[in-house]
Amino acid sequence: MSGVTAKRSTRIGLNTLGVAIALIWIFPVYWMVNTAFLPMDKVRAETPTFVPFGGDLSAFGRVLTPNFFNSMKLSLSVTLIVVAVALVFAFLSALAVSRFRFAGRKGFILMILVVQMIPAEALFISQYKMLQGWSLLNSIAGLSLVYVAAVLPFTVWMLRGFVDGIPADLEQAAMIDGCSRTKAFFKITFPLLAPGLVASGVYAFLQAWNEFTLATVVMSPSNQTLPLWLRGLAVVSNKAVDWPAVMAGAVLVAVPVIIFFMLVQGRMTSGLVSGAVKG
Amino acid sequence: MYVAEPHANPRIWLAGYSVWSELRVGNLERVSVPRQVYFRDQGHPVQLRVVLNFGVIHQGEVASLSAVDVVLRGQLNQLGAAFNLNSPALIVRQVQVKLVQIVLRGQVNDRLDLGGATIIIVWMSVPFVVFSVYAALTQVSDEVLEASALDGATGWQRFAYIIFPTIAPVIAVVAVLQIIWDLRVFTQIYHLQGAGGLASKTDLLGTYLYRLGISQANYGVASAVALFMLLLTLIITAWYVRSLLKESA
Repeated sequence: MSGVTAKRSTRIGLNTLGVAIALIWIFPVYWMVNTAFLPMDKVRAETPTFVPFGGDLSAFGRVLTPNFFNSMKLSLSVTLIVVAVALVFAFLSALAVSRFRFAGRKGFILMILVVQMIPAEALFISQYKMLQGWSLLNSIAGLSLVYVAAVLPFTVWMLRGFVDGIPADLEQAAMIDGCSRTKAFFKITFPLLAPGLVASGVYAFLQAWNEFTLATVVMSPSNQTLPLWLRGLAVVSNKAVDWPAVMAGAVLVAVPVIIFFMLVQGRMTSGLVSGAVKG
Repeated sequence: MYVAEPHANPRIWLAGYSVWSELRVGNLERVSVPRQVYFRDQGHPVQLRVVLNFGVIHQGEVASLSAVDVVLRGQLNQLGAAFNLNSPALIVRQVQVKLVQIVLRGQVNDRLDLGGATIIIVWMSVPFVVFSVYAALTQVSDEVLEASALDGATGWQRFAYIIFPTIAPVIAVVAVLQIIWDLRVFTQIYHLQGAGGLASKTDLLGTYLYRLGISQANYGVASAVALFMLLLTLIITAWYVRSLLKESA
């Protein structure tokens, strides 16, 4: 009996610890939302205000400017292009690496990994020069191009793991039943790969949506993506930083990500593969 | 007959390697520190030294903080007139001027140290790891877990002999990616430095590289640092790369 009690108290203790860590982890996010609703004097007061009672939506009103909508449009266009293009390339590339044996395959896999180790800052100058040469500086196409290049190694890498997890037997069975190789890929492998595509898509989305440094280099001050716009709110000259507005901006930047995530998260449960092949 | 140019350096091929000699540890400090805008608050008034790429523009005690502001703006305007307005150097300079302005606005004491940076980077890295491990956990076979439970395996045993071996490949990949990403962490450090961090105390390889290559147009040394980072990453992740090559042979 005492053993069961001890076990239960250990479990309660561990659960409490887990909840405490989760609360600490989520606190900065809560603080962002909380501050967005508070007036400036409460934000700067010595005693912190932990719940936004007596707050209002005026900070949101201050940041919903034409600049915000322009940046939102720009960020959305770039992000959607990056997700679509990166997924198509990564899908084909992952299939090739995972399903075919060709000369230089090992080197290719190694290269995908090593290329991620090169610091992005080291590439800025050459990327800037290349975009300048193609007259793509300060354009959606130019920014999308460098972002696609930046996310491709990881998405190929990730998808390769998912393709490896889908038994090639399934495709072979389909081919024996009369499917062409291409048809077998798209009818059998592609649907099973949905969780992998969603996971890679989420990664590409987040990278393109949140990227700051490369956007600073490529875009002009009049044509900013959301992270640059947000930074602009926090860095003002000759007046105090309007923190409620900065936080309201941060909340607004986070909203599309949350919507996107809620749309796709149901597809991420990767139980689709299990049970496809016995033993 | 081929005649060498009179002034050609016979060891010209060595010239490219000279950047490596600047990478000596002592010099890391020396080259990065004077180029940065940094502050020492030794009581009041604020002791302040502003050194930018184009030389010392102000040194010593500053009677009025806004005076520095004016000097910086003047320099910025000159730069804008002299160079193409969109040049990256100018953008970087604008960032530097902003940085000075922020710190001048009374945030001199508000410093970031590496402990704070570590907390922030851990904080932002956790979701990806949780997400990946969660996805991997969905692949653990319920039937096997149930069978082992029926055979009397405790929770720890199930974890050690079934769950962990199943998700181990994912943990290895996540570990390698975290090593790669954390070695090149940039944005967070950069912004925190902008918010009052002491650059010389908080520079990681990524921000140091950016300062060298983009702020100072010191491309040779910056490329050397980049290669150094690449090598460092390769050495740290060598165990994984080796197992990868074996597995995909």
